[in-house]
Amino acid sequence: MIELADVTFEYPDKTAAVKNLSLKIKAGEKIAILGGNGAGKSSLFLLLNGIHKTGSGKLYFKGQEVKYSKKDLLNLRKSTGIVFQDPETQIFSSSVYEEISFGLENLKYAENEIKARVDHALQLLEIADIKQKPTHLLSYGEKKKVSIAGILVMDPEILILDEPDACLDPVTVSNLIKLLDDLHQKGKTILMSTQDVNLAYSWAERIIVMKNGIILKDGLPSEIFSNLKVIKEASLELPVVYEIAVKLNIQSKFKQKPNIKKDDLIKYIKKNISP
Amino acid sequence: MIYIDKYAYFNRLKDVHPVEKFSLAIFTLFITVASNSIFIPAISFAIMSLIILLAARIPLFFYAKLLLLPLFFLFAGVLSVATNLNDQDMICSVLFTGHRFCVSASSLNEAVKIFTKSMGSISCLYFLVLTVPVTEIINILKKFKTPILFLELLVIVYKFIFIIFETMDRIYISQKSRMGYENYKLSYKSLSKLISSVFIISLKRYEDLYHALESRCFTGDFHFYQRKYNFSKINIFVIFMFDGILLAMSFFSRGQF
Repeated sequence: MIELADVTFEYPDKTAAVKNLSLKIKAGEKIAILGGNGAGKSSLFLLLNGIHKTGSGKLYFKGQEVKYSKKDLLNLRKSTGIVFQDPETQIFSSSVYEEISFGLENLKYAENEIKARVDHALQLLEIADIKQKPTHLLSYGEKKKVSIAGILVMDPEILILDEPDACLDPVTVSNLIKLLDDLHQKGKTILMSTQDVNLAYSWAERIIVMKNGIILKDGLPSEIFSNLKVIKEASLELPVVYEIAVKLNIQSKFKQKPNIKKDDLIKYIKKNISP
Repeated sequence: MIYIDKYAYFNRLKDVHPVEKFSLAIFTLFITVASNSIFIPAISFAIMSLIILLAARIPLFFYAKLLLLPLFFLFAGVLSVATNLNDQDMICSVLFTGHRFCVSASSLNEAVKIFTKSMGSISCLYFLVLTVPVTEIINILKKFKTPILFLELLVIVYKFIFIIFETMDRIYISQKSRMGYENYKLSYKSLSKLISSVFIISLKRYEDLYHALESRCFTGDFHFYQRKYNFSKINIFVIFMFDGILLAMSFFSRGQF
């Protein structure tokens, strides 16, 4: 679907945000990107969206090299939607409706199509009641939802979320994850960066661990967390569910890929402890 | 500033068609400015204040505070108009630093005229900003074929007022929590840092914002969504009657008051 080949990206002050990075993302994948602050996650996302231009190396979208012409960029940006980490940077318009319709207006959709899509997105995120509100008077959670709705209306094939769980309450996060799973079921490719190893482990089918602009490891959740060297180097922790399974030495009992489900673990432990 | 914006969205007249409110404010403003009497501006000030307080339900204290703001400048201006060094047909005079400052009947009349005219116009403008959100004002200006470049500037400036205020607020709190404003010396130091960092941070915010705009296929022009409002025949009638009467009065009373 989208591919970075040996890409290096430097900021004007010559600090490299991404170094010799190669990454291939296939359609329909569910990927979590783990890595501390300054690991290069956000830069990677801006590269995938064509906002940052690859210094060296190439970006391919659907097998075609992205040449950074106007047409290429429009095509790329139409298909890859980024939900930025801080909704404040993304929300521009003064009313919620205007904000969500922003991308569609830019793509010159017909008015009734825009209205239908915006209403659908408002419904998906359960924020229809704030449709008329001015954006600068929303709460943080509402802003976040508006920023996600603003991307969903464009119906991108690849959905990129930069730490969508940051600063949100647990219920909102779990609703969001449900929504992402629904979208994944409908065939979307989803790429999400997070600091939460538990979330990454339970949600993702593939995990990419980054540090200092390079990919330390890329693989299944079970592969990533069985490699303690990588975990230590990237300043990560083991997910609770996985750690319990490992400490009890029962991880081989769970055949289901790609991760051990919390419910299965509880069931197994319940069955085997003597009351 | 932020409160004015809040009231603009949540006042009692928020569902009234913005064009109605806009035309009431603008027509009354023109008549007030053009009139040559004391009486007309006084009426428009009274009516506008009543609408702001009773119809839009803006709290009296808040409105009074808003009026106080231009009053300072107005007093300074009016004072200099009312007094002069020429003692023709003077009513009273004050000896100050060796000069005789006189107030004449005509200069006093002129000063009172300026005062009422200013207060009348200010109340019209306050009515506009307190009951019509900036987004709607932009929509109205768009209908009048205002150049799109001007409108975009308006949108960006409006957005950045909030960004800068917010940034300032956050920096101020973080400075205060670390004793940045304990005494005069520290206050000056902190303030200078605050001012410079507000601009640097706002610049960074602009860059981030632009990335976000670009990622959603921004091509350079903004679109404004317009909420549906219904015109009210009664409102339009009342606005025309009011401004008509005011206009007629200002014609008939020319030079009388």
